[in-house]
Amino acid sequence: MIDKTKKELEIRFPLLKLVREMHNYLHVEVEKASAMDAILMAKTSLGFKTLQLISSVDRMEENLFQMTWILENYNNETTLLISARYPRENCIVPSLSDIWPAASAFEREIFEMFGISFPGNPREGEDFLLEGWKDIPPMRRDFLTEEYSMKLYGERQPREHLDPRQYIGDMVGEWNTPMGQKRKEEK
Amino acid sequence: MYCNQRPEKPGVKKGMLEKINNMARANSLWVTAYGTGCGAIELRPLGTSRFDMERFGIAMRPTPRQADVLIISGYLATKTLKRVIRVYEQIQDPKYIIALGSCTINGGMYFDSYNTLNVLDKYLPVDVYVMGCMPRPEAVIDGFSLLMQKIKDGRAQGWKHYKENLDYYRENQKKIITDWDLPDYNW
Amino acid sequence: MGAVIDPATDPKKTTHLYFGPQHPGVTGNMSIEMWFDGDQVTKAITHVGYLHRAFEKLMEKRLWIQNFPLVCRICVPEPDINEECYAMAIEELAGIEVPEKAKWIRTLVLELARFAVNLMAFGGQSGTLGLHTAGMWGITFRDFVLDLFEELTGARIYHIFIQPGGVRRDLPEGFEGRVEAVLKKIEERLPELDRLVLNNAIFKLRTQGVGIVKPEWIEEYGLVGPVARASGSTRDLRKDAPYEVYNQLEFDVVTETGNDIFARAMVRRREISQSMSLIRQILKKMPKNGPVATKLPNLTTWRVPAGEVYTRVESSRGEYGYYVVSDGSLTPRRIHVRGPSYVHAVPLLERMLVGANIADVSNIMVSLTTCPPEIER
Repeated sequence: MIDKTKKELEIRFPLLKLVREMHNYLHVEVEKASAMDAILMAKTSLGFKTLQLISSVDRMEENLFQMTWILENYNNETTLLISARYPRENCIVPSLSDIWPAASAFEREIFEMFGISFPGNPREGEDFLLEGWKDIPPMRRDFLTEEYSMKLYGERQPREHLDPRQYIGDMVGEWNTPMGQKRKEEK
Repeated sequence: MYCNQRPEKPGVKKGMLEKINNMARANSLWVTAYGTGCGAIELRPLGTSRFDMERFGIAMRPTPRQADVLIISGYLATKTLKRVIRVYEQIQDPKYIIALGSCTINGGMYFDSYNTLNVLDKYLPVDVYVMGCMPRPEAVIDGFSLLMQKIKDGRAQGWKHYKENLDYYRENQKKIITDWDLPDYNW
Repeated sequence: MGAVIDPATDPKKTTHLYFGPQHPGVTGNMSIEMWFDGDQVTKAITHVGYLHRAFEKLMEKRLWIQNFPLVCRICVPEPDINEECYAMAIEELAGIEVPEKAKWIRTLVLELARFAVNLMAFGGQSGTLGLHTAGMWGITFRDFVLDLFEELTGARIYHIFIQPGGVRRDLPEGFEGRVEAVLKKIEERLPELDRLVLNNAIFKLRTQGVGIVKPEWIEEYGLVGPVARASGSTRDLRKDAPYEVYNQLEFDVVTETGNDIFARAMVRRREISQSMSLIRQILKKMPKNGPVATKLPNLTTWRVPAGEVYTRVESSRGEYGYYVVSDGSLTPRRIHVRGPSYVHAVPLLERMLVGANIADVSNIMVSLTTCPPEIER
């Protein structure tokens, strides 16, 4: 089954790179210009009618975003992963939301998390996981989550005691806040 | 009279009547049904015959208007914080907060996450912390009995503290919630 | 000429309501924004993100082995599925062999987890209709299974039991007998639960013909698990793409053709019986002796070889997928979790709710057993 898929994809896309092949599992990488053709071909003529996941990987060192579309053939349980690499600045990837209704949610999430734009998605830009986010998209490699957290939520307090019993009950929590001081006084 | 003006400073009440009131309050703690985090899954066994929280007079209520206790069951994402503030301020006085899990105390395992609060004390007045990730039902009952003891002794004054230090809490809350569109006083 | 008003959200004809996140009918912490014409939904939008903990970002910052405590927290009711999925991905990338006995123990843990969640979900379905007794029973039954987990792994909810190349420890002495005792106890009570739920006239009236998932949506949306199997699909990864030792066990895939909430409840009920039979088979066929873990290299300096892999495991809600990318460094490059609730709760629910009655919204939502933490991670 998977051999046939591989052969047909190789005939159509000679520049295709094979990433991983297992039983009932094929991962190929295509040129970014032919990514949409490969996906449509997989859907229409190879039987991969279901979209499982759209994922993206930030390859900052190479200045690239790697997009991966995971397709599934429900009739014979084969998985096809199609990857393509896009330049990192002002990354634009074609939307699949008119082909698969489920794609819209995946694309909204990727737009929020990586800043990759999907023109053609009617709901792009709607809040999905974050609300009122002002910084650079958080899943990019150059977004430093620990520094951000320290700046916004304050530094983590070291423990004052090593005996866990000291931390049970009233006297639990941080004590440099007014409420913490109050609890400490009460104790 | 409350909706668009600052809350009045609650006076200090003492004496026999207050003691009787506190006794009554301690023995009928009604909990808002809001599973803010993963700890909510251990609240459901509490209602069953095995742990049976109703023997302590603890019951789940669907709306904050009927409840006395808000359980913050774990980490708070910034998006949830806004809803929790709204829920908390709608609960009638006197009101109490129980926080479950290590992640409410100092961030726990999510200390470097960009989307979860580290120290809950800065944003809401917590009366009782329950340790663990996640706390067992027995630990939650223990937390409740501690809260009951605190109420009976007149020490569970978190709600008064919140009203007195509203500016401090609002400042911290607005630092996190960048698109603040709540009414300033919503009780 | 004013702006074109969408009839589904016309403020003159429709009512605008928010359902959740603070609402007893919502599963977990999520919300639906809805517009109603009378009591019929004309448009629905799911809002998620209230539980977003940035797992995928945190996992990029931690060592491979340090991620096990994180992955299990992605799905609260069923943590073992995540551990298994992640461990399978690492084993595939690093080429680690799992010993035979460890495979059996893993299968046992996965099946126990499915069993526990199905008990809770089956009871919870009637809980939304006001039949709280069944919900209570379901949770109480689940507690017995959690006791088994506590004995086996040391924790009730988050087990962190599966590790790359095996499991943390062997079964304790006499564990089989205690599993059998729990199964027997639950089995005795199940007919009562059936009588309470499936033979209940109110339950039938409120669920039959409500919340239809059309069979053609399965491929269109990528539906999985009981939601797909209640609409005639025969897909079950345990049968179609067996992992661990599922290919050595005998079972039939549960399917129903009702397409409605009742069919989904029925699939869950039949999967409870199926899980019990599977657990008994596992305990019977499990090898008595043998290693339960392969030796791993020094975990603090362990570099998983570069590569990409997508692994799948069948959970009680459907197919769970992990897309793991390694660049050969100490930490993962990227881990993308595809929970079954993702399509169920966002695109499918938005479509299913259109035309539904206001009273059925929470019922429909619970029948998909949406688990918000796996949507937002």
